[in-house]
Amino acid sequence: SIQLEMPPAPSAAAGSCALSLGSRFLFGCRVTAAHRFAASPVQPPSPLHQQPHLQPCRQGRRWLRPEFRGVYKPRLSPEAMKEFWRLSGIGPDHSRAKVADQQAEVPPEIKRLYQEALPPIVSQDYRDPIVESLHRAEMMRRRRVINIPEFHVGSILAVSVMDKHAPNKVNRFVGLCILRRHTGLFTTFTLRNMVDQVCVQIEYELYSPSIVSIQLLKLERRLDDNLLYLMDAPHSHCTIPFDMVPEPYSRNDPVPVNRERVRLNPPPWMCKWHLHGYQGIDLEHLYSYLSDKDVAKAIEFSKAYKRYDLLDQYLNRVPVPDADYAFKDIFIQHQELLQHQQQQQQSSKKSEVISKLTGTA
Amino acid sequence: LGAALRIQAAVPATGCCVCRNWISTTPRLDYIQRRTRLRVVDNSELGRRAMEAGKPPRVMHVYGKKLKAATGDMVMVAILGQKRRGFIVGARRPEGPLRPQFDSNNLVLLNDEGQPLGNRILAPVPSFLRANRNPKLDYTKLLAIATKFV
Repeated sequence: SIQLEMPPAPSAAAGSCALSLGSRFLFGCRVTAAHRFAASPVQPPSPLHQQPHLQPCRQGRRWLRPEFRGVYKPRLSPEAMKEFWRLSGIGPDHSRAKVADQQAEVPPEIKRLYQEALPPIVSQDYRDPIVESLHRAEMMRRRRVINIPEFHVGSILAVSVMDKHAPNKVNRFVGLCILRRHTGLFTTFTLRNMVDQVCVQIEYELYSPSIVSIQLLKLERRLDDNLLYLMDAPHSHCTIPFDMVPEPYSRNDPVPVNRERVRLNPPPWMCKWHLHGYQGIDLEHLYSYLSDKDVAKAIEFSKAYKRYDLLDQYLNRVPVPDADYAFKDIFIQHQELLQHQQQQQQSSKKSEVISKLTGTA
Repeated sequence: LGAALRIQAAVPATGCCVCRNWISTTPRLDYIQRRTRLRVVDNSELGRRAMEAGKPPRVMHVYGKKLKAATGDMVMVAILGQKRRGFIVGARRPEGPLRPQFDSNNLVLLNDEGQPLGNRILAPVPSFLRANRNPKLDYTKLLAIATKFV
């Protein structure tokens, strides 16, 4: 429920915030109170909900909020902008200069934890570094609320999602991660599991606010970057019990690789699995189903000629300076996130101690 | 690699191993429309006999002034020489985030009044169907006989 707080009368002390900006989710009065502060010497900070909120670009459809479609765009004073960043939980000093000053080497665990922080592999015409840095900030903001573990294709996850129709208002699904798509704020992953003899696949957006929790049950990697061929494999490969106990893992160890080679069901298949260079399929068994011509095509495809294709490499890789910048940016925000988590722990401990001392329950 | 998106977008309808096409010319044909064969997932006698005989129901008509059906749509199917209504509770076509995708197109048979023929649905049913949004059909009883929501 939205709480509407009316600003106090103009006779309030000059310089005091008419709308208290203490809580993050405050909705002030919609009427702009500019005329009320016309007489005051200090420019009042804008209420939080009137700050410009850049709509992220989803699937190529650019939809601007109505306030940005018109000619008039309110100018924000630097103080108002700083106030916004302070309230949104991101450090006000986060800036390009800080990233440029970052001399320390980014540790490898950052690249494991934040695989989706890499900019998209797309032509330069469609890339906007400001939007990308804002998305990274939004990603880290979300990570303050929910713990997003490190996982790879082949790991087993349990995802709880808000569902108004469910009895507990939460819908939990456990599955094997078969796919990770897209980058940045719109990273999605697909979980597959067998439920009541029927295989189900659900796609989740990693940073969706509907997600209540993402729990890692087993950290593992496979030989391929997607496991779509499991759709044509025996169901035993993707059967995961819903009451699976999470397996402990250590951040310092390398991610274990499951070198299992899957034997597919006899054709017809959903796709020509022999033509996509999968390493996780039992190729001898696969070729036994194919004609000689198809086997020759598959072997031709698997020849490593692509490493000599310079244009392919150029188009399908993130430029190294952009990747470095992105990871440095993330590294700074990761350290701020750790500080924020420590502060939260300390404050919760403090409140525990205080409640014990004062004898409150 | 870009293999994931290529597979999702351009997969031939029949993954026949002796297919000569090197270049796939059609995208994935995973819409439910007329002539589509569906899988009956309730425990009705008619559905069980049809699936065991290897004669799955075929869509004859899609209700709602459209040509393609998806999860949550009512269809008319031809099953063992009879015309029956059915309700689609699961589709192979991916529906987007937070909506499950199944390995088969699942159907629950209905009688002319829109009540399910069986008394249990054996496959998991998508949770978003609980919103009960189909203007042509009130499928509250169908949700009541579902065993598992996903």
